[in-house]
Amino acid sequence: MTQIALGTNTTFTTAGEGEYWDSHWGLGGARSLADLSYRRNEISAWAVGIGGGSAGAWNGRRFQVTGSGSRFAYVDFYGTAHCSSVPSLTGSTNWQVDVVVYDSTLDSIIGNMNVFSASHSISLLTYTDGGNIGNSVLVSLQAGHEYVVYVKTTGDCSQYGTFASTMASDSGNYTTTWSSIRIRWQ
Amino acid sequence: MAKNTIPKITPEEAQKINKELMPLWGSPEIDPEVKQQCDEWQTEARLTREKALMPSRQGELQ
Repeated sequence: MTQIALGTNTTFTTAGEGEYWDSHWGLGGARSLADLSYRRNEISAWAVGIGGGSAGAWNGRRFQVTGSGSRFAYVDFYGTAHCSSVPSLTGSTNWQVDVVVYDSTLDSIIGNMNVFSASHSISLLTYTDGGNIGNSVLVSLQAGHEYVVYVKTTGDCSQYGTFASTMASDSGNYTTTWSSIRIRWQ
Repeated sequence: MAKNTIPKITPEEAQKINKELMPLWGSPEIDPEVKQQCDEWQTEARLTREKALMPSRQGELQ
């Protein structure tokens, strides 16, 4: 377990843990992966005909704060996230990226910032969404508590007609990849 | 995770499929009941997803 002394700025450049989940129904599919080696979330969902898929993944770092008392800190997230979506004339796609601070001692999310949120429906176009993650979350961190800071990607796709829909954020530049997460005490 | 019913479809493949289907279906009407079924599944899936993606509590890491 990584320990951080209260008041000492720290930058993480490697992931320690993550989770992923996917599900589908009808003529649909979904795929998910939290690739800790590359600090990357890979999710996709698709459907042809009636059906859908849903997927999500996160990865980040867990740490414990040592010392005494509590203090405010910015948690700075850096990285990039992109998604390519085709909703079609009879479907929809959704994709979202959040940066999160979770207090695992209290089992509570104490900070959450939505970085990207893209929804498309009933369109023939291919949509490209995303960009730099670059965001900060201000939280109060308490000595003795354990925290998880992470980047989470979720998305889904539905097809309620006769065409093909897809939400792809799972390969090449089209993934969510964080480069560093910094704890910056105030 | 459950095995997918159909293989993955990339955005390029989706566009190709849709282009081929377009002359057959033109501007299709959406069946409200089917749309509702899709929406209900999506809502349920999102709730399950959020629970599944919560990090472990302190001391519960496997």
